[in-house]
Amino acid sequence: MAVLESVLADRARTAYERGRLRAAVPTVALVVPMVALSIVVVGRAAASLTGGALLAVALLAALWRGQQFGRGARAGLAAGAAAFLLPLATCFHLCAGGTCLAVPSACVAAGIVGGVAVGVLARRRAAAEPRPGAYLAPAIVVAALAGSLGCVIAGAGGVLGMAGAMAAAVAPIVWWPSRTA
Amino acid sequence: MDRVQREALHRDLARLADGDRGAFHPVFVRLWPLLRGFAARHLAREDADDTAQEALVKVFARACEFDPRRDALSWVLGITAWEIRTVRRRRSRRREDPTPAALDLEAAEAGPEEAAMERERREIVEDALAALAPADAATLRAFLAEERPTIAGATFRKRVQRALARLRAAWRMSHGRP
Repeated sequence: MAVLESVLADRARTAYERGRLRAAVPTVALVVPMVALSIVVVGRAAASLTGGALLAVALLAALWRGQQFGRGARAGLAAGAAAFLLPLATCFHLCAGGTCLAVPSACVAAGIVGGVAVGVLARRRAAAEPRPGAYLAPAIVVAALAGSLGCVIAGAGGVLGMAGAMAAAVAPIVWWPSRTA
Repeated sequence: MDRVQREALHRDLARLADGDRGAFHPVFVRLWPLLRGFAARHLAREDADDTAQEALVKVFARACEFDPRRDALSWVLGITAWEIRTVRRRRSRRREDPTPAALDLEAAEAGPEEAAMERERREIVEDALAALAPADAATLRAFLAEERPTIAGATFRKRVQRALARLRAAWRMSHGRP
């Protein structure tokens, strides 16, 4: 490759990587209203901002990398939306005297819902993905981080409960032997 | 580019859009000579290489937007054609008629609305000329300026006719009406 072509190839590669980052921004921007809702409803700005920053970084990295990582992260965000909204929804219906009594169990339920959603999506994609682990890992991480934005309402225990429930729900669905196997 | 190469380009560009960096080199090697040749057919030599480089960089910058349901070659050439059009427009603005002030004065005397309409009309004509090959645009500019051509009158008239036919075709393509 001539010098001009090699310089041009470097420019093209840089433009490609920048283009991938730019294309990821609209999806990553979805984190902003999630964090805002979390702060408004829960009122723990530091925890919500930390969770939101981690979620944004994980999403950006996975979408920039692309392939199974990007598809997994998108699936994780969709599955995590349920895990995010469920604990927040309880705040509007099951609160009395400033205490949300059902919140810890709602976080566990949110983890199960998110985990089942991730597991079902991963299982449906398993045949099409050459490396299922590269799809599943970002999906679980993103779903757990999205869920944690809702579960900060129950503190660190709620977040851990949600993450544990998510892992417990996803494992049997993903590793259950398929009928065709 | 034959059908096999076209399919290979489509396959590699779809891989690149998905994030497979291994497809970068095959796409680059296929596109660079193609875009260089395409730009050289539509621009003067001094502009062709720079335009092809800019177009290539833009293709890679937008590679992740490529929809595999579309034809890769048409998508790539669409970006390049837009780049060529931009360069032509820039060129034609630089080479603008040296008497715009006089025209503006005439138009201003006719009133602000007429002046705005006249400016708009001139911009439309310049845009249309920018879409033509440089030789056709030069022929039409000479014709509009009533310059005496250095070639035989019949040859010049024939060139004007052809350039006008291409202008009409380009106009129909970009505006959908004659």
